[in-house]
Amino acid sequence: PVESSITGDANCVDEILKEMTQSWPPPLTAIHTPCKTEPSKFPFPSKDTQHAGFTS
Amino acid sequence: TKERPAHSSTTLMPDYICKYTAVVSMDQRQTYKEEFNAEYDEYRILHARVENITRRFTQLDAQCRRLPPGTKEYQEVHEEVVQEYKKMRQHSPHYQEDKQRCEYLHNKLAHIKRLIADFDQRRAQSWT
Repeated sequence: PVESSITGDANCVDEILKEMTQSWPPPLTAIHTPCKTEPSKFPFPSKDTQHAGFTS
Repeated sequence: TKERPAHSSTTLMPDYICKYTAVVSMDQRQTYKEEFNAEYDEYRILHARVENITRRFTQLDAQCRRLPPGTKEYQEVHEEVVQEYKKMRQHSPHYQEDKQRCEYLHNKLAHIKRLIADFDQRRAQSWT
């Protein structure tokens, strides 16, 4: 990390930008119930409807 | 210095690799999913915090690159970078720890999620 004795000179700004602009991956999405892959003849109790998006 | 997350050692495998192995049952899938969810909120909060700060500095970086060196505007943006950095250190004194913790959680949760996805895929194939 860049030390707190920052003066604003070009080197220091370069250091800050180098440190603070490192690439950051998009967030992981939540785990969904694989209801689409389950055969309809074998229904599971709908424990996980809060993640399944059945809002209608 | 501050304590570091368990994964920071470069010679050892992360702890979650041994703890979470291939999923073989629905019960195990459920347990893994619950453990994923237990840390997911913390992960999202940390992720958003780091993302906001990174975005702000990426914008300033882009501005710096557009402006010709030596101009007044260039100097102003440089000063803004320094001010923004001081502000960040004040408001988020644990930024580095947060970021490391978030990277650790990202890898751990991705690992659990992959194990569950593998299990779901094997299960789906066994039905066809």
